[in-house]
Amino acid sequence: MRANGLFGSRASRRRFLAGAGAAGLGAGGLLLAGCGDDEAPVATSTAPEGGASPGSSPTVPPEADIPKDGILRLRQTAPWSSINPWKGLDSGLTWGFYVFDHLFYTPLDTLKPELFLATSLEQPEPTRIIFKLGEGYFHDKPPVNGCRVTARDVKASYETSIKQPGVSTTTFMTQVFAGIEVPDDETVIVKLNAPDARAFTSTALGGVITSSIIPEEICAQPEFMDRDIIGSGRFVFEGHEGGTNFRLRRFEKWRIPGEPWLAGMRWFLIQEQAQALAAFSAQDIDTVGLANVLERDQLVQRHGKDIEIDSDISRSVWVVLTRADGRWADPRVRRAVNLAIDRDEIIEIMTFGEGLKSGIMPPAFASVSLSEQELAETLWKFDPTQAKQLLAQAGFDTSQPIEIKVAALGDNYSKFAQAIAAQLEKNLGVKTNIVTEDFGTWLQKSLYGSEYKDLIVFPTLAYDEPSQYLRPYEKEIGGRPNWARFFDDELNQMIAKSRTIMDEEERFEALKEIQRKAIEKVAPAFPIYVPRTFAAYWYWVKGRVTGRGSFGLFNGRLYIDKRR
Amino acid sequence: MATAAESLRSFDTVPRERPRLVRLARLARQHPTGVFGLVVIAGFVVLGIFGPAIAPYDPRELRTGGVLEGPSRAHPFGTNALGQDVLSRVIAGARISLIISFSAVFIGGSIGSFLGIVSGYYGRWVDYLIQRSGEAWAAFPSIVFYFMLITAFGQGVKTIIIAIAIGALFGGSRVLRGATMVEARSTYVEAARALGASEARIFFRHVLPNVLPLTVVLMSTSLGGAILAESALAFLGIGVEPGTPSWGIDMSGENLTVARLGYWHVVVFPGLAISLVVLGANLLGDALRDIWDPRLRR
Amino acid sequence: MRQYALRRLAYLPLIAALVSVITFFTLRMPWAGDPVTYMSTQNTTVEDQERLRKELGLDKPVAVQFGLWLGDVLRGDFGETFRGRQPVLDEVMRRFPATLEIMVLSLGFTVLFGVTFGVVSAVRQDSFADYGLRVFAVFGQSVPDFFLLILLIVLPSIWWNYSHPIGGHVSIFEDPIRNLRLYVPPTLLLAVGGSALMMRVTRSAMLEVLRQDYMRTARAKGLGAYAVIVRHGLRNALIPIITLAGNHLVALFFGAVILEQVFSINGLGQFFLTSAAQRDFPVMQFLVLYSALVVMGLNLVVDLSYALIDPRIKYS
Repeated sequence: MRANGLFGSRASRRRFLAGAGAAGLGAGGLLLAGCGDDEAPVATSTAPEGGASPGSSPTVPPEADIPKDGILRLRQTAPWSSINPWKGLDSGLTWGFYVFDHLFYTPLDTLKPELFLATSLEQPEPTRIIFKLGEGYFHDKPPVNGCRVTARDVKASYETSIKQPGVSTTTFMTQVFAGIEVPDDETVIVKLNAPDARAFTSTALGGVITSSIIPEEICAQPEFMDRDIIGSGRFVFEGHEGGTNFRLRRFEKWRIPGEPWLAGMRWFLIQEQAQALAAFSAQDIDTVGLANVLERDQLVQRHGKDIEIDSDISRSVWVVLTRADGRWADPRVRRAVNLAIDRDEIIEIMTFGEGLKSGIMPPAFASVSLSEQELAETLWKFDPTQAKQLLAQAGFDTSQPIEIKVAALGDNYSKFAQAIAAQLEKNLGVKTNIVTEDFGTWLQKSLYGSEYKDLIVFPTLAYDEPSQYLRPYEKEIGGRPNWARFFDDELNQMIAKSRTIMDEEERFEALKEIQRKAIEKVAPAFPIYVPRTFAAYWYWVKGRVTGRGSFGLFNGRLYIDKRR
Repeated sequence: MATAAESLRSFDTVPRERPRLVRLARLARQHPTGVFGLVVIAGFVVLGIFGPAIAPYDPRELRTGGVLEGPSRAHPFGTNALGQDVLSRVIAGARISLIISFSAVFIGGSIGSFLGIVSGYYGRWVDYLIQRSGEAWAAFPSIVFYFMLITAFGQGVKTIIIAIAIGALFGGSRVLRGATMVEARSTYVEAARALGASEARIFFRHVLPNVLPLTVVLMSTSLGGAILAESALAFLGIGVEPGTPSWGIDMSGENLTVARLGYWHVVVFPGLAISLVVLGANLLGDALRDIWDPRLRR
Repeated sequence: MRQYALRRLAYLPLIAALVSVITFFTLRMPWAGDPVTYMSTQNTTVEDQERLRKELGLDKPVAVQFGLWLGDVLRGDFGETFRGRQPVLDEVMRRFPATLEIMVLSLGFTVLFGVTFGVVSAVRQDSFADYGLRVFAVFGQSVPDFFLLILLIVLPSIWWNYSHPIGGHVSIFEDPIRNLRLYVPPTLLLAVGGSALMMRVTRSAMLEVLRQDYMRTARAKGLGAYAVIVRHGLRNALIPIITLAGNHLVALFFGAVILEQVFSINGLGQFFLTSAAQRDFPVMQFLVLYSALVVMGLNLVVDLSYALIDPRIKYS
């Protein structure tokens, strides 16, 4: 609700996960976003687009009237290297939404857990959470052959997934989560090492990949999932072609009778955005993520009322990260860089004006972000003259070019790097050079390993949980030293303390204080902007629901109805 | 002494000078397409050297006008999604293309010629080794090879130059080998040998001067291919860094996306630039081949 | 002849081994990318990485790794992909039909148009058709194939709202229309450069043949123009054409990568690109070996076919 309050109803119609990557990747559409797994600060480009969500669609006809033979056709932006959900973020999230069931999930709008397979949730004390399981069955394939989901499956799923090298577990899961007890087949007791405000968020017990319920037998031999995926979710995994063109069909024994309303889903590999748009226009796919307003305007012009556009403000923040050591140790140098960035021009270039300046918390988190006025006077200030003066005062050697590292992940990555480079050259009078790296090296070595010389630029994931945006200001990020080598005890303590504050209002105030402190200390991660994301749907894709973060993807009431 | 030598030289050169000009003029008339190619390549070299100075805007400057403006008087080729002037980027794009294609062709052509001459003249195991390597190379699709190099040495201008140079190397060596073998077995070489000329003298006096012009021909004929290879790699995103004004890069990524939306000028002008320069290189190469060695004509 | 063929066949494993050694050691250079980094996340501990390295067999000395790999290959086992842990051969076979069709179609178009245009242009030397075709050849060799493919995406969609079929490879036996819609337009364009070159070669070979005495004799004997051209002229021009077709096939590997990339076809070219980006060594290793063997095998066939076409050629 908070998120919705900021924008008009149209603007707040949130297309599934709000596409962290969506806009970020230019290719439009990826899921990635809200799952907020601690470790991945940026989206990978390979996830297919998710379907729309159901729910808040205003006029749903009586169920008997709904055609249930529709197949939703989606675009996949790149082949996956593995279909195993424990070996990739793309597969993990996609199967997490469609093929696996979960105990519960916490939507972004209410931030309160909603029950899925669980029929009750109790927290008798802060470190003990008790779930009662409802009736659910696995898909009818060997080796489980449609047997009932038990508490042991849940235990095995949580406990095995966090040990997988390919699964990004969070500090919550590695440090606070103490294990699961199963007194009987229908009871799951989660034990925690300490009280924690984040327990039910997507960074904790609600993480899409971590909480996916996978049969116990398969947890014992995860390689099984290299070949086949068996869950207890709404859709049954039917097949794929070498990591592309996935096919799902309705699970007839899904725990909600009559759902899902789709007979199946199909993904088609279309790597080029241009081709994806053409495919959408030719009605070969039902929905497509749009990279910008130009694409939106063109589609609307071409198809008029035959298509509908969902729009959303992303929670994926484009960031410029300097170092905090070497010639960047002087806060004046870092401030100069921030002062030399003209955010309005960046927004104009990156989004054709359809974006918003972002504070440390993106504008979608209105209750915890600083006011626009406050930010305009501090973080967002653009003043090339002062920037140059600061550089001169700090004795910065401007003859040395500034190196900007960026991942080779898509148009927008290099476009952003180019825009920042051009502004720094113009406004600071320095030379720049852009270094592109493949995503693996960039993420593991350059960002996590701090192997960058001057600047590194990227979009964050679109988190469902606000405190995730504070990670670049901590001394340790997921067990590794701060990427920028920015070690500030005061900020670090403030962040640690905020996690233990269980009172919501008090916690939000603490989060705002942290942001003020980070700006005051010229912490090296400078948030620049958030894009607006667009997705086009043919009119027959009905039952879409938006505004609830990734929650909208757990939707059984999306359907295809070509009647007008 | 000096005056004598000078007068001798002037006596020697004056009558020669005119026929050369006349011959050039006749050549130009016989090969009008070659002249066209020469003009294009000359223009390409000039743009490659002075491009950024000639370009109306800094090719990296954002918002030189509106974003994605169509061709107009201020921006004859329009602007791209970053508001950069497409004409300026096309002009500046000549540089990276020039650097890579010329260096690759020069390095590959000269090493290839050297290997070919050695292989053709000495024969035996040297020949065997070089020819077998050439066969192994031919069995290696170039894209696979580029990727291996990039995997091993990282992306960058140097890697691409090396990759394309090696591509040009063996093709050149085979032609030079054949030509050297023909020369080495020619009657006048045999005659020289019979007269007691040393091997070194035969090689440097008789064989080398006759095959060296071929090197130039070879380089000019492989120039077009080198430019194409560079742009294709850039297009695939495994060439030079983004942001660099490069024809291949400017036809990929977001530019391609917006082109599909009707902003055709963003990709068509760089594409035409590549096509024109390759056309010029091919025409020039054909003409040079005809002039120097009609035997090579296909 | 047989002896020659056998000797050439004996070279095959030799050069294949050489290519494999080079590939193997280049990929494992200390400064080349490490596959384990590509598979780890932020939470992967050093122990995890070591375990992974051990599982993948990357902990052993490179020479030992090569020995093991070679042993497996000789037994017909090409290993598993690093990422998906699927048998490399299965993954390759899945993608093979798409790439095969691209290669076959575009080579087919190249030869078809190259030879036809070449013959027409030679027979009607200095006619309007000859002039036009020669202009085509000059331009066809100069326009980058990816530019043509881009225009195929850009222009029809602007002009006619036409979209190229999506969803990757469809078997020609399952859905012939969709299959042809998917493959014919791009492979036609991919053939432009090759057919331009082939046209020039055919044309000059034909011109040379047409000037020969036996052609005059054939015509004097009263053979029809068509028979003369095909039975005598073309047959004698076949050698350069076949040589070129062989060379062109190697170049098509590059073309196929570009085509698959632009049209999102999940073929071997894509497989190679993604595997290279993730340092999936077994896949790269296999594809390099495979392409080397295919190319060398084809070269051998080309060489041997010379003898069939022209009995004067003898190998010893």
